[in-house]
Amino acid sequence: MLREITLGQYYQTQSVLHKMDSRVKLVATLVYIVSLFVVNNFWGYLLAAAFLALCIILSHVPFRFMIKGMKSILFLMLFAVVLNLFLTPGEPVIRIWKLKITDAGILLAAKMAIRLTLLIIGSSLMTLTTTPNHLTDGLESLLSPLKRLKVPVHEVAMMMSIALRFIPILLEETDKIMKAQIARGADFDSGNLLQKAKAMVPLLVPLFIAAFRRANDLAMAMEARCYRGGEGRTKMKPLIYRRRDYIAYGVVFVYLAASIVIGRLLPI
Amino acid sequence: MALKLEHVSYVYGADTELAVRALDDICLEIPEGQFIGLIGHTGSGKSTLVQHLNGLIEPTEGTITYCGRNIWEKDFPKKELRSQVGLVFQYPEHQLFEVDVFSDVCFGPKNLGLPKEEIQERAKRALELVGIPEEYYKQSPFELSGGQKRRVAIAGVLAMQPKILVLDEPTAGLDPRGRDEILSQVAHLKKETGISVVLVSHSMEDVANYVERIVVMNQGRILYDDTPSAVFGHVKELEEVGLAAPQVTYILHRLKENGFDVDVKATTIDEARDTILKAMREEREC
Amino acid sequence: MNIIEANHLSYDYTRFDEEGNVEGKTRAVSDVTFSVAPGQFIAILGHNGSGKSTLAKHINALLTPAEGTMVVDGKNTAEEANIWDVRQCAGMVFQNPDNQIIGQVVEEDVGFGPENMGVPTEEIWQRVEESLKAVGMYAYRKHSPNKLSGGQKQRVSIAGVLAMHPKCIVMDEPTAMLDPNGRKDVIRAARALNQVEGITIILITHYMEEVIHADTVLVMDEGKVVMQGAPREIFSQVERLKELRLDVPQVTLLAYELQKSGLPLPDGILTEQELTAELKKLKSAERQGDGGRKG
Repeated sequence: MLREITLGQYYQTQSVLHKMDSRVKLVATLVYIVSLFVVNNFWGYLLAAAFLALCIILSHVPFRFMIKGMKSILFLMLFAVVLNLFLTPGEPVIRIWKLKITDAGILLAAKMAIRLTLLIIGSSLMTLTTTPNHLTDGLESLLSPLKRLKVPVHEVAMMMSIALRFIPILLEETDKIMKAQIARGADFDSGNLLQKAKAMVPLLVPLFIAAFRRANDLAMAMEARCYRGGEGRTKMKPLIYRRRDYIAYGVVFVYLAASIVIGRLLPI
Repeated sequence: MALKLEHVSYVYGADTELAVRALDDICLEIPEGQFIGLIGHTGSGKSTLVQHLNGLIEPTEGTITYCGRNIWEKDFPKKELRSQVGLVFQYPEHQLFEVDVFSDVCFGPKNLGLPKEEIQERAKRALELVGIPEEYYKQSPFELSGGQKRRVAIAGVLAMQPKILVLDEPTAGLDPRGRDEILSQVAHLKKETGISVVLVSHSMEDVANYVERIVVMNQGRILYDDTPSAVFGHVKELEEVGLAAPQVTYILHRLKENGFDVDVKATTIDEARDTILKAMREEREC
Repeated sequence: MNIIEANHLSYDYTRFDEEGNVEGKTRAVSDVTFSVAPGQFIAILGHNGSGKSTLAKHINALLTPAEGTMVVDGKNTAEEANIWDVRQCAGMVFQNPDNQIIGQVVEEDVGFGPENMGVPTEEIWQRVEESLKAVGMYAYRKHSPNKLSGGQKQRVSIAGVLAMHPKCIVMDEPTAMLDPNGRKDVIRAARALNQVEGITIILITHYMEEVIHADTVLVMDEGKVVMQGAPREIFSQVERLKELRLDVPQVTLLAYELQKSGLPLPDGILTEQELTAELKKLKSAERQGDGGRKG
């Protein structure tokens, strides 16, 4: 049942993108998102789409996995498109009752749709090629300058990685408690919303207690192994830039420059 | 009243490449009033089997009947089945959730939609059966000791007044005192109520003292289904599948090999003592 | 010098009422004195609530005594400055295998301790490899801990402690949640570390058959050490152990029953071999004496 859910959407395979330093991928994704909002014409979008297509080919991840991420936000996208379509002032093209669709509206809605599609495929490409582990490591390293501002970067990263380790365990626990309560005649499926919410109590109380017990145990085990925060800690798998990472940075910034030039300066 | 499994198989993740055959052609009958031990090491399929008994898992192949009716028939009353076949999971104390012991035990009968008086009566009776005295009724279940918590959890299932009680590793994680308390309490309630009890365990020693029939599982199949002494006779075969007979059995086999005329069928310490004494006495007399 | 020295150690758990005021104190460990020489294998027995886990947490400085002292490798655990040295010197393995593995990959978890200690990267890899090999889990280094069995998880936990190069490992009921095969593997790993690497082992358990190879056994009840001695000395007192509601290995119990029924067997028989040998001795004595003791 629940244990079959896999978390994160990492796709295991061999590729240049998989091997790349997670910091490069994080920065590249950020740059890509920025570029999508900087460009203002269709040449720019064409460049962005071409760049993304290249990355997808390099990643060796089947294209249908990228589409998966789209499904979840399809509704949000439709909403944004419809809103832009109807509420942009300009020369009306089609009139439906009191609503009018303007030429500017069509243009804006089309841009919005393209932007969102590229944005989502782009960022899911990053999660598909990076393990959650590397992702947290990369985030910690990139955000480390914030430590000077007393932001607990290491602690947040540690929390994220512990959460990732315990989510499958807690899912399994949920499954077990659910079955145990069903064996005592509990009913999680029928009834109206209020009854369903009430039926969750016998599941949630034991689950929270279990989670706290685990957290307590884990804190003790970490202390016993000399954990005292990020200070003075070394890394078993430190992040080291290699040649391909510098090249990747180069490519990304060339892309950014190109998209500014093309996307801003060329008409339409 | 019997629960009957006929050629039951179960495959995990049937449509994927990772399909695992957890149960393979299981035929098993649980009659009224029997004390059964279900033995197998981790991954032998015993936990999967147990979840078939009260309809939590649907078999991939084969049929399960209760009182002659297929439990996976369209309008079979599942809730009633679950009250008739009470299943106590491993670490059952992890399912406690109510503010006090008594309300927690009431949860099962309440789900059956019984009148209030009957619910309370059943809860009281169940708590009596597992030996929890009245002064604990209004305490929070989380303040009890490990063994007490577990007994309250067992009472929570007993309060549904099942005809068959299935206990999955009821002694896991307890110390010897807690373990003995639970096992003797289960034996006691078996005698009191006359219901069938299925005791799932990986410890032959735990089970040998109580049950009248042992079912040994290995790799999803039933390896033996017989009386304890007959099952323990297969010491070598049990060893091969990673299970150990009680230490007593080993001692007696060793003595027999060394020329002592002992009865290797003895499974408890008292029986072993008697047969060794008898052998020594005969030695003296001849 | 002794590696562990507990001197009149006592510890209280404070109970709080619902408003957070001190309601009372429960004495969990009471006036315990014992010492452990380097390289020993010590077993602490006792049922739940006997104070054995509380005592164990003192060795790792997770708790500090209310009265008396705990000195580990010459360092008093009550002094704040010593805590990290003490924890590095005396590692700890806990009961629940799921709640002490931090890493998402086996090798990363084993590296967690050395990382915390600030060990350089290359040395971490070396230590991780050695430790995983020592517990026989090297083949699983790239696996996710979630996919391992209980016994395998516990061996990973032991490797995680081992990678910190401790002098002593405290194991707090490492086998309580395992099946018989997992239990055997964990105990085998513990004994190997003791014999091959010379690491002092403190094994807390309630399984009697796990302590028969220990150098010294401590039995605890109600926070006090009530019995102390070699396994044979302890197991020869079957009645006392039964009183404490502890398990006695079946072979010892059988020998004791036979002894009670009149067979002249020695006290504290621990293994099947011993019992067979003793019974054989009796048998041949009978033959030679031609039933001399008859009547």
